[in-house]
Amino acid sequence: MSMKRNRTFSIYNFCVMLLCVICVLSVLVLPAFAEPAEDMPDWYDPDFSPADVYHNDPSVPRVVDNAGVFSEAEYDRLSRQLESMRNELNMDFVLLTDDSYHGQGYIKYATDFYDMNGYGLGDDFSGVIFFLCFEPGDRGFEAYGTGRAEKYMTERNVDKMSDKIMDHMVDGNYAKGVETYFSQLRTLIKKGRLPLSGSQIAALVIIPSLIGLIGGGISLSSAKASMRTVVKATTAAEYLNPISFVVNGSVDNLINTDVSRTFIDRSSSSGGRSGGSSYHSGFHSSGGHSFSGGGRRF
Amino acid sequence: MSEMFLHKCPNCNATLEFNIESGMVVCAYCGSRYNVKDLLTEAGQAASSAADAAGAPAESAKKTDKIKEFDWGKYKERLTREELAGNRSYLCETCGAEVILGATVASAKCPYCDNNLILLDNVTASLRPNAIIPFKILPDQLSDSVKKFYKNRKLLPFHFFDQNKMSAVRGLYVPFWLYNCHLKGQMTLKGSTSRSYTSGDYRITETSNYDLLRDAQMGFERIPVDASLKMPDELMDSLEPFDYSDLTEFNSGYLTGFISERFDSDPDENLPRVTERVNNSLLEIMKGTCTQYSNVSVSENHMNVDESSVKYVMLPIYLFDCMYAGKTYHYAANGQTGKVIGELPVSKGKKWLYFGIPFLILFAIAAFILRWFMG
Repeated sequence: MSMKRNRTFSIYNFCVMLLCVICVLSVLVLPAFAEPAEDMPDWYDPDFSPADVYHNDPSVPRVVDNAGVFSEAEYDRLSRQLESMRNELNMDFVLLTDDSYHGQGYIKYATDFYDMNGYGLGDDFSGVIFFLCFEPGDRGFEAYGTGRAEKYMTERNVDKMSDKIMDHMVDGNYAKGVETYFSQLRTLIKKGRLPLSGSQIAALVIIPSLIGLIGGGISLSSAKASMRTVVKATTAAEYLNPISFVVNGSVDNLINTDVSRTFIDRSSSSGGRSGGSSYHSGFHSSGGHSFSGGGRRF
Repeated sequence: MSEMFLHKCPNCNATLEFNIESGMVVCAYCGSRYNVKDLLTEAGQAASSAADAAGAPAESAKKTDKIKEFDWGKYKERLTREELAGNRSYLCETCGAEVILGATVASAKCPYCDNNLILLDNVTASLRPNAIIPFKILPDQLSDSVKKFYKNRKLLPFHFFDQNKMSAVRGLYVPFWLYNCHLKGQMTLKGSTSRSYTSGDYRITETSNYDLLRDAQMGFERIPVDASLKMPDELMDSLEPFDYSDLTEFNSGYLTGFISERFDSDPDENLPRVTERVNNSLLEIMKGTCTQYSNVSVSENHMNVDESSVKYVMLPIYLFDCMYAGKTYHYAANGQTGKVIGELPVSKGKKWLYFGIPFLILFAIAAFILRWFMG
């Protein structure tokens, strides 16, 4: 009886142990043979840890043209621009182009690229990544800032910078568009505000001048009026005897009525954004860094 | 040789002078004071005799509320014979000197004995003013009025108050016409009302246009117009208003000690000035009866003057000058109310300040706001 019980116990124990081994194997070994959801690029590390990456390596290229949209000259020019900005502003500036975001979406793909390749200067890995993506059906660009650069990537600034390069992007003049974007970004970080266009500068001079001229003119006219004491009398209202004023009869005849109808356009809603724009604030990347930024689809 | 008259002290026979402070005529020699109205008998007799000589009855109403209207018709007949230009010679009753004065002068001082002369030709008979407002403000009080006048004159030069010098003040009675007119009739105005409301997807605006017929009457009383060609019209207009409660029957005693002139611009010549003022006010008053309408304008005006009259009065004016930076600026003051008007020096530097400071402030604010909106 007791032997039968011991045999039953050892079979039971064996089965439990076998199941445990199968479970451990399935966790440790099987993923190695599993196919990823999409064909991810080489740099993509699903087990990424920030501690594994060596940061601030100047030899790592800042312009990664995986989509192959830049000529050699454009590539060099952009690389020099980003390097110069990095040296001047003590932040990293990265440009990534790709044919796809491999199912990850703009923000995840771009921020993972930034984290996993060790970009970013300083303890807070400050920098901006500009991602130009030719994902079929979702072609566009987005830029995200982290560390000290994050505060500059406000919705308002991103909108303005994106607006300015949209024409270049739509026309396929990508190098010019990216160059303009980073140029604006340089001014934004250096001076705390975006550079002005020629028409804005003109408006900034002409409109305040006109307002100043009107205000100055009114002030001077009022001062001049205070000096005018000799004035020709043109009315005699103060000499009207109020008792003598009598309205004996008063008839108001309606002549005609004009009716005008104006269509009220209710379709436009205030504060709406164009369908092609996006903005994300305080997004935490795989590396645990906070990113803010956005862009446009074209 | 034209006739003159002197108001003499019944007590000592010295000439009398009107005292602004007491409102009485005072003898500078014996100190006697007389009510101006008490002089009426003496002046009236003299005036009557002069008037009889001119062939016109003297007018002497005793109460101010019954001040007679100026008989312009009678005067018009005489006007053709009048010579307003040139000078007339008078023989001073006191010193016997021959005094040459302008043809329109009504009162003056003898340049030899300094006595107060009343020139009867210009203040009696058909030229006798209906009423007068005596001086109430003393020349000494004018400095306070002038200080008030300078207040809030923004473009006065910085050192004007330290460096300007006021000349001697001359008090004079200026002839004025006071016009009364009563208007009656109809006026047609055009006006509109508007209301807006929403109906479905449309904003509807209804504008109703009306013809507004008004039958009305009104009277304007004592509109003053200066009757002296020597006085600039705008200057005299600017001295208004006068307080007509002080209007009193004319007596030449009020003129003693002051320069005065008779009118040399008749009521017909001045009528366009009054008509313009009355018409402008008439339109505003009639528009005021259509306050519930907007865009009110006059389409037909059939308001006509059905009654009109004119009074000939003497009103008190002070004239003086101020010298500043080598230039003379002319001033006038209402001798009854103390209101001062006149030409003022303008500082070019202050002109720039009054333009430049608001310009710079507004420019900076506008640029800042605009720059903020531009990001």
